[in-house]
Amino acid sequence: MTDWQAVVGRHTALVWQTAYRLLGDYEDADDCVQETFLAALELSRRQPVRNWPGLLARLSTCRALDRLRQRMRDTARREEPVAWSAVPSVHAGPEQEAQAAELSDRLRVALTKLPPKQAEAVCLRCLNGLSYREIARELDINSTAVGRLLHRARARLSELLAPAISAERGRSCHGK
Amino acid sequence: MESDELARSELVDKAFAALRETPVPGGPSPGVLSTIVEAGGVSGSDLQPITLRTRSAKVKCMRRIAVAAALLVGVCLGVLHFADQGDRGAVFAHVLEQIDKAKTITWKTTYYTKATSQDGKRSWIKTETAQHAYQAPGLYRDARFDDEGKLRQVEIEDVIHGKKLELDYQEKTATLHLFRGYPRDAGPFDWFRHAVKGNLEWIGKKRIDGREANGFREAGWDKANNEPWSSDFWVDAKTKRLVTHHVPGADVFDPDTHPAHNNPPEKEWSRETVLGHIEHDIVFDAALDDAVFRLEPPEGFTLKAERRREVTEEETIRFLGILAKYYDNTFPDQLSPVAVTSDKLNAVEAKPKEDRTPAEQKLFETVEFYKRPSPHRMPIGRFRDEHTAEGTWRYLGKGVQLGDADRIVCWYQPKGSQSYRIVCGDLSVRDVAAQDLPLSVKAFEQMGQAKTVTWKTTFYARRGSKEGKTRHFAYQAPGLYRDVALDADGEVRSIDLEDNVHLKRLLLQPNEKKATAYQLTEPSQPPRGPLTMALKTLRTKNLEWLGTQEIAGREAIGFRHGFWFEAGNYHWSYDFWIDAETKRLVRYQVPGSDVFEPGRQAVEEHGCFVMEDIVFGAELDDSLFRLDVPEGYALTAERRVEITEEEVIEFLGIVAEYFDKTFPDRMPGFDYGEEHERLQKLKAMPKEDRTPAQDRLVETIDKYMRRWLPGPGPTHAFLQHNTVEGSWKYLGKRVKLGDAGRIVCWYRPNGSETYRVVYGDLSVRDVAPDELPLEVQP
Repeated sequence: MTDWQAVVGRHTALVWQTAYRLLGDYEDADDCVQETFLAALELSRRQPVRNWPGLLARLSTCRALDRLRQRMRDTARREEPVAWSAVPSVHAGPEQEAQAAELSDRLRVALTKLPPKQAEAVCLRCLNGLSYREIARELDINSTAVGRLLHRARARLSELLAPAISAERGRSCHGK
Repeated sequence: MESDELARSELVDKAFAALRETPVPGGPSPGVLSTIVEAGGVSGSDLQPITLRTRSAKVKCMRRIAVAAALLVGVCLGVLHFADQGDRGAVFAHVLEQIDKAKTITWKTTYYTKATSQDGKRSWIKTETAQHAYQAPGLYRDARFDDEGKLRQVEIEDVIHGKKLELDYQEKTATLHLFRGYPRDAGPFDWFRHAVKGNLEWIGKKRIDGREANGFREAGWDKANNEPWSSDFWVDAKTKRLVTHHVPGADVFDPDTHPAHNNPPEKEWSRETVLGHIEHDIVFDAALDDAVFRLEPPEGFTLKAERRREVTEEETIRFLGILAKYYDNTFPDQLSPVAVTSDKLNAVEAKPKEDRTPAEQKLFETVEFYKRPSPHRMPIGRFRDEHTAEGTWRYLGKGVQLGDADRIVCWYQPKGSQSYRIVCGDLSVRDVAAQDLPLSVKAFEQMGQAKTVTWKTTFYARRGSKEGKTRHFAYQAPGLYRDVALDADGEVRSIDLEDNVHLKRLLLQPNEKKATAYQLTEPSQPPRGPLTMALKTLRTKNLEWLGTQEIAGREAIGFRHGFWFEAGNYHWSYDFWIDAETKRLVRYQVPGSDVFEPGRQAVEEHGCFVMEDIVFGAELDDSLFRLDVPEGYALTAERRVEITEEEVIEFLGIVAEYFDKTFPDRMPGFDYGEEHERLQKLKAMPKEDRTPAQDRLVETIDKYMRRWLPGPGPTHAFLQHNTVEGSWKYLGKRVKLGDAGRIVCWYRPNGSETYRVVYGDLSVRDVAPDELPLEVQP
């Protein structure tokens, strides 16, 4: 019998951080946490869960990516530029932080353009620090496939983020 | 092209790093948590399909919190606590940033005191609110009000330039105090920096002035009063701004729940007890007119300028006496950093005047007197800084009885004077010439610069034995050492020659006509002389006077530096004996005789050594130090000790096996403390009584000891010679041996661009610096 309260108590931080980092929005992250836990609970009633952190990391990543994609679709429908700058930042001010925030926003957009499995794998690896073996277990694929997914995801992300390189260079030139 | 690809790849890492470092707010809303926990409470038989609630549903759910309170309160607290801990760094970093960057700060403080009625039967709480303003650097303004809310008193202080203006609005007078300023000012909220370094407890969320805030508590034990102590601070959950600061925390004093909080005030009172204060209405970068901090009296005020009060020698000595009386007629162990801790002073202050001893009352009054013009400086520090030549103040009062005319409490050289002043235990003062001081600056220079030193050292290292073994040493600058060991008949058993500059060692064994040459991996003796550290300790640390004794027919004066060795959790000391005439060190014992008495006590856990017959500047023939193989000796060359990565990783595994197949919290040194003691006990055990893991550890450490490596095991030598300095990071805490998914450590081999990352299963992987899971110092 799962001690559900203990599971919630132990892993809320993990789920919340994953959701908030990917979504950058309190309300959306709040919803994502709720969806994640309730999905996990439903799952745990069907089959025993061996690795709660792994499962919750995957579910929160999936749910957050779903929301990001939904946001992109909504934005495209409204034909408005993505309002990433509206994401509240508690660290507004210094230039480095502004650059980091901009880069995070670009990454969020880029993640929505990856095939879902690639996006999940790269988030589990780079945001949640899961090992290849853990990712393989969570995505039900083998470790070699994880390596392939990650390679493709990184290649695609580097293309999608490329414009930022010229922007960075421009900034450093102006800096002089 | 290649560089573009590299830049792109780096950008992906950078972007993820930026996302990982995104500050995360405190945690999901309580409504969401209640929904989640509530869902788990549905029993299996009632199982319904779970429907995901939208934000509007969450609001309804929040209203139901009260119904589910019994179930939720405990777990929600736990959950939020956990969630907030994860965010703690980001939240506090933001507050710290505000504190550091603020050019101005305004805030209010409400002070709470408990007043007791004339007959002592009733009490009520009195409050007074003061307004404060701060402008960086170092400008403060405090305003106090009377019962009707009229301005009563204003204090404007420039702590850097040492000026304070007191304005009395009732008397219309202004008093200007001058005092020695401080070069730096940390600001009024520097306490926060220290608070967040310690262990904090998350105490919940509450609404303060319409804003939701997270509360944190810094708690400890007030040793002076033997009671719990705490302070609480509340941070706005949304803006991460500091909202209030409660001293003490609500667990000690809460103005809303204090038994006397609703009691009606009376006109007359017999006693007041300070309960605490709350800082609130904190505004960073408030718009403030410079005039707020102007150190000039307003129109209509009479200025009474008070000259900067100089602290005289007489009052400094009087203060030493007050301190000694407070400590039961014994001078304090130390004056620096403090002679009396603030805990002790607070404990005195907390007592009603009639309950204080005369010594406590006198100390309290004196401290209050000196606090007024200069809040943090007591007369001794001021006198030392203002009136004595730099570096000449020495305090030796530890253990000296008040009234003892034969014991020195301190000495100093007044500015512009050629001679020194010595203060004795009876508070008498006399002039002495520099050469007549027990410790002479000139002698320190001579000892430190001596080209040669000779001495003998007796090592008391054999457990259970009182016997020591004596060896004769000679040193020649730079870095040459000669160590001669004699056998029981006084015949030379070995001559060990070391060149600690060129890292060469030659061991001669005359009986066997054998010479062995070694390449050292690091200096085994201090290249700048055998007593470099000892002299530094003697020159700079707190010392205790040990009296005099005859050593080799001459009078010697003893000093001890004793301290608590935190890492080993035991007391340790060094004893120094100085020739009364030459002022040179003649005997040095580690540990001091308060820990171990050589010759009288059998060696237990810690050995001891005594350096004696120390002669500085003896005439020595250069040939004594030559690393030449004498005629007729057979030379064996030991290869330079090379440690391989495989050896280090094998050792890590052996250590983890020893700690029940789990990597320890930190890489153990096995050279002091409990680890050392445990290892010594293991060594003393018969081999068959040791477990295989214990035996393997003991054998391995012995094996590396035989290779003359620095530190037990191969790790230290490997890191020193094979890796980039500062690149080693140990993360093995609680990692299970065999866990391929957890990192134990990483390091960058010399000449390599990538790091080697060692995992719990002892596998190793090459990783680029920016791929490492934790930031690496460039």
